[in-house]
Amino acid sequence: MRYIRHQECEIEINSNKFFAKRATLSAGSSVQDNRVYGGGLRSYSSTSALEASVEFSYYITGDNDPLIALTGTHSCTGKFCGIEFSGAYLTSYNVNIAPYRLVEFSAAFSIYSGFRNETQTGSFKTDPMKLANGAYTELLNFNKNNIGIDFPNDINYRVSCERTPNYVIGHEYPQDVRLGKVEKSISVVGENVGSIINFSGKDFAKISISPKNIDYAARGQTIECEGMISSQNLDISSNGLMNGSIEIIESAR
Amino acid sequence: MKGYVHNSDQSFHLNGLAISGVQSLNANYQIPTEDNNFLGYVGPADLIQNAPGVARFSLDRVMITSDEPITELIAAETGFDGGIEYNSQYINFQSGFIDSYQCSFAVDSLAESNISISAYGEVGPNVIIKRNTQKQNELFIPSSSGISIDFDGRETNRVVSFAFEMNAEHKPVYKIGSIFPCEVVLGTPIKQKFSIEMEVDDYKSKNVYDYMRTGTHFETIRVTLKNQCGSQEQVQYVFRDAHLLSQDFSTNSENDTSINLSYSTVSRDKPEILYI
Repeated sequence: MRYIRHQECEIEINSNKFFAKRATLSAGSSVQDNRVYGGGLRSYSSTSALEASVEFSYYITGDNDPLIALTGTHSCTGKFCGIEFSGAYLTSYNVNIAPYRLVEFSAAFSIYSGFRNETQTGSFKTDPMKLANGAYTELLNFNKNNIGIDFPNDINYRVSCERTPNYVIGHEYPQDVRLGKVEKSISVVGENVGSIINFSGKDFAKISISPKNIDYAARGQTIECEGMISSQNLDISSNGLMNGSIEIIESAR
Repeated sequence: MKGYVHNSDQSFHLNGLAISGVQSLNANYQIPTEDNNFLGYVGPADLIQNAPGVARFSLDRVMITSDEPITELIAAETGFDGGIEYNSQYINFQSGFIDSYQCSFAVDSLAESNISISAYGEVGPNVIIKRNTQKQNELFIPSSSGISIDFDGRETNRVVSFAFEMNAEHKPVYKIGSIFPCEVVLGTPIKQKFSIEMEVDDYKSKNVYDYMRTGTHFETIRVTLKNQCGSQEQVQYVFRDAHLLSQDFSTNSENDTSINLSYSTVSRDKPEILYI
């Protein structure tokens, strides 16, 4: 045994290899001790299914991100450094954008069919690529009149997908996994928030974000959001500048 | 290929003015990068820019004309352009801000100043800047014997040396989708330091514990530099509410008795430097 180098650990979803920066695989059982009267240990047994997940952050090198299509009812298969999994469902999808930072995508999956095999090293290579950068990302309708911010300096886009496994007695893995609510939200940090919202939030015109690289080539699909401004926040401290932030929500399902 | 750059083939422009008396110049810019390390990736290693580039220029000059065109740029709301020319080549900047300004005067030597500039926006040979839009000032060489200081209600001209330093912090603010800063914010207060060395005759020291009892000792100090080239021109550095930071008294058997005083002050506005 030896430590696996970062360049030997491939991350794969539906046979697509990802330029991942960080990745985590976790599996947790609910095993508990069974003790009898008198304190004797009888056995260990589990009270619920395995909680397993894979999450990773990555960069997009093409004009499409294959993971955004997984916010629906489809499951996927994948590999984490050779450990295979199937019956994986996307539970959260994030995009972080900041000036001059690489546009970072991240995804988290719940695994409902367990894992197979042990770690196995592997690697891939491509030609040099140009990744999306916050300095070149195109924003549409991000202005004072629409969302109260002219100079966005941090954008976080999130999609969360509610997954409910349907277990049948006698089976280790669920018979199916149902898709519940799908919620999109965007938090935007900038220099102000505009007029303060009331109890019913605030409507706004559709905003869109197109991550682009230094050549203004698209990296991933255009992200669009059309919902309500649900919260606003202003904060300032001495020796600092006022920071405004807003939270936008859109219920997609 | 000449193989070298002669000093007569170099110049430095600031806001349209060719700066005179330049002794040394430094221009650098930095582009922060990170490695393209990805999990499982064994393709060509490369570097990726991960923060904005910033250029810094600094110059030392001997004060043979007044620094007025330079000091009036301190705490400017908008950036100024400038750059270096050498052998008909250029390193120009589009939008500069003065981060620090220092000047020092000593008996028997010419006054010197040092200016540090942070430049945001494009830097390089293709940046077009203003040239010779400002006329050179008349010669102004502060006389060694023409330095006087007025503080504590007294005036003395037995100043041996004097140094002034100003630091103004600038913070560029970037927005998503723009390669240039949308704003450059001046941090306040502007910090100023001032130190002076004097020959002592009847200088009366202060009690340290007096300061402790009464709070910080405030002083308004006015340093005047007179032109040795005959005219009545003078520069006045005014430090309002200066805090005494240190006093260093020294004497020896050669009858050299001197005192070094260091002061500091902060202000919301640019330093009060008057060209009269």
